[in-house]
Amino acid sequence: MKKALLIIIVGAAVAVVFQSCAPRSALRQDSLASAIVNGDYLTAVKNIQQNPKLYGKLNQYLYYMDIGVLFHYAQLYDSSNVYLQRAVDINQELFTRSVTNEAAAILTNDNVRPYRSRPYELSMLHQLIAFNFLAKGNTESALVETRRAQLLFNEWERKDKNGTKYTNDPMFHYISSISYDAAGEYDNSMISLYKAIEAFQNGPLKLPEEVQNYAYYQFIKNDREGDNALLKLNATRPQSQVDGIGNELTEIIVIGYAGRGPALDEKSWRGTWVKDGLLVVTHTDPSGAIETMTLPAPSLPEKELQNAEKGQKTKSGTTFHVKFSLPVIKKNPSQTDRFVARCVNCGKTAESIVINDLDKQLEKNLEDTRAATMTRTVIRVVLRTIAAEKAKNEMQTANPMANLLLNVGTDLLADQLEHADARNCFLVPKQVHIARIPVNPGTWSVSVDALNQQGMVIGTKTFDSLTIKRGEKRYLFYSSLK
Amino acid sequence: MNKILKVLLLIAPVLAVGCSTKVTRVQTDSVIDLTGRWNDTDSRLVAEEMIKDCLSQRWLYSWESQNKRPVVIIGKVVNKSHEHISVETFTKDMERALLNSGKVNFVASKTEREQLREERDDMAENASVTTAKSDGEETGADLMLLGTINSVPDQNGNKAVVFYQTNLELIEIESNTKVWIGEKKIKKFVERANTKF
Repeated sequence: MKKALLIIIVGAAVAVVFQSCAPRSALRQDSLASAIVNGDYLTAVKNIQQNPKLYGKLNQYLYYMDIGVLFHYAQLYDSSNVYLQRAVDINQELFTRSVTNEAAAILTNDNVRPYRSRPYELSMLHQLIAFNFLAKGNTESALVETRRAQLLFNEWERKDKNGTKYTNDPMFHYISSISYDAAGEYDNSMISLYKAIEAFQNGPLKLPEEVQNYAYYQFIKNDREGDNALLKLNATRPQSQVDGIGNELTEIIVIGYAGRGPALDEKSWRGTWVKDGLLVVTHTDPSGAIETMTLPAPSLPEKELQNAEKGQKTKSGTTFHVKFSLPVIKKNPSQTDRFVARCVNCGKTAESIVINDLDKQLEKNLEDTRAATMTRTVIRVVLRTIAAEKAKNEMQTANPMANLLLNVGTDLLADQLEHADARNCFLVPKQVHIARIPVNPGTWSVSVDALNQQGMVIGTKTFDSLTIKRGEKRYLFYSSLK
Repeated sequence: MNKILKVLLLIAPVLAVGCSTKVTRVQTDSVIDLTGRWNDTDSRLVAEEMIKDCLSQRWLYSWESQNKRPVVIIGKVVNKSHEHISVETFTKDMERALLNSGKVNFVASKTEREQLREERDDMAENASVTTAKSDGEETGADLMLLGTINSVPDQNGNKAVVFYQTNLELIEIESNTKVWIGEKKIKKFVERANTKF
């Protein structure tokens, strides 16, 4: 009995310790949601900085990325880059994996590992740093980000032997193409445009028709008709109906962020075989709803009950229990369907197109990592189940009721350790839109409307007195995260 | 149990000390490579090479033979590499070395000039007539210093080779003639641990 008590006490202590490693992402989402929807980004930053325990030591990457994203939405681009650059550094520091940490994760759950960015999040991180530089007219530094990200794309491509995973980002290459054009590097601009089209064609995001037509005519303009053939690219409209064909044009570029990006939650499945002849199967979905089924199951031989009556150790009342959890995507609905940018005093209008969809990116990431996640989950569950069964065997008594209590208690403690890794950067937008207005050099005012699916205006932002020089690409940002 | 507790109590202060922040001041020219990225040593190597080369080349002799000191303005050094590099860390070193050699004069760069012109505009409104400085008296530069930094990275897993090439050029403003090109190449091999204990 003493041994049983010791096992229970140690098990409870371990469960309490690792309960603190259970997902804090739900807490973070709850505490930040309303500030973000209301556009109160600096309040959200303050909230995070005053509550670092919302993140903990293992989620430093997310801490810095989340604050960096919020400063970007608040248009404090220098502050944003300080935090985003730190997130880049942290991700690089995490390249080296700790053997003891990995072992602990196998025995408990993946939340004890430091959070390492998902590939599409890392692209988004570099993209936001580039956007911060572009917002301040610093094309050169934005192109440094392009080159840094290209190293990542090269490494991911090298590791992806089957050619099925996320290894390139269409939005990143498309924006890089514009930046190279602004810097007068037309060849690099066309190479990036080629990569953007290829990434659209090979990935989960649909190639927007406007980008398709723009690319088709840009390749021809730059003597790269062969690229159209390689990409099997055709135009759906005549060139006269396609805006912005040419090199080093003066442009106003509106980047719109529509809706809140996806988050992760977990689904759990539990099965308990009470060896006296009962099977209880439970499924918990992300909303917390629990579905339970109780079924008759094979029971123990008569001998075990007789052992109990004789006062000998018996398996009657013991259980065999398995629990596993897997991450699932949680999408946020968005009121914002698209943006319309109007150059007020030049009479030009441009409707936005979608160049990134973070819901689809996360779905693709879950698909890409499914095999690894399942393998880790199975290994973890098997090891934990073996350990739990051993502990239960040590605690076996002659009393079936005592056995049942000790076994159920052990199962509950083991359950506390099993959690899916439901961490991600949920502050990124649901969709990234772009609207491009070619203009002549001069001083212009721009009004950007956010529209819902019915075409009603749900928000407007005005940018006055923009003085734009020849060949300049002026970036304007509008967040409509409702 | 008592023995274990005693040992823990003994080593706890040592552990505590070992975990606190430690600062050691080092020489500014000491080589410390922490991450493999461009650092102060790289900037110093570039500056040293460029200064030595610039002051020993023929372009300067043609000015000296006419008893003139060329006037140079620092232009743009374009960063075409894959890292954010502060180019001022070596352009300022070069400016200081050339100016202190007594063989070259410098005028304010474009960003520096804007501040000076703002100051003169302010003086025109607020300073006394005898002390206010006039517009239209700036010294025109003879040569402009321009440059580029390029990098060629090659990475496979935890190993990477990075090659940097920095080029600086002096160009006569009137004739667009290039009179000097300096070059410094740096190559690094970076290996990161895959695992740690």
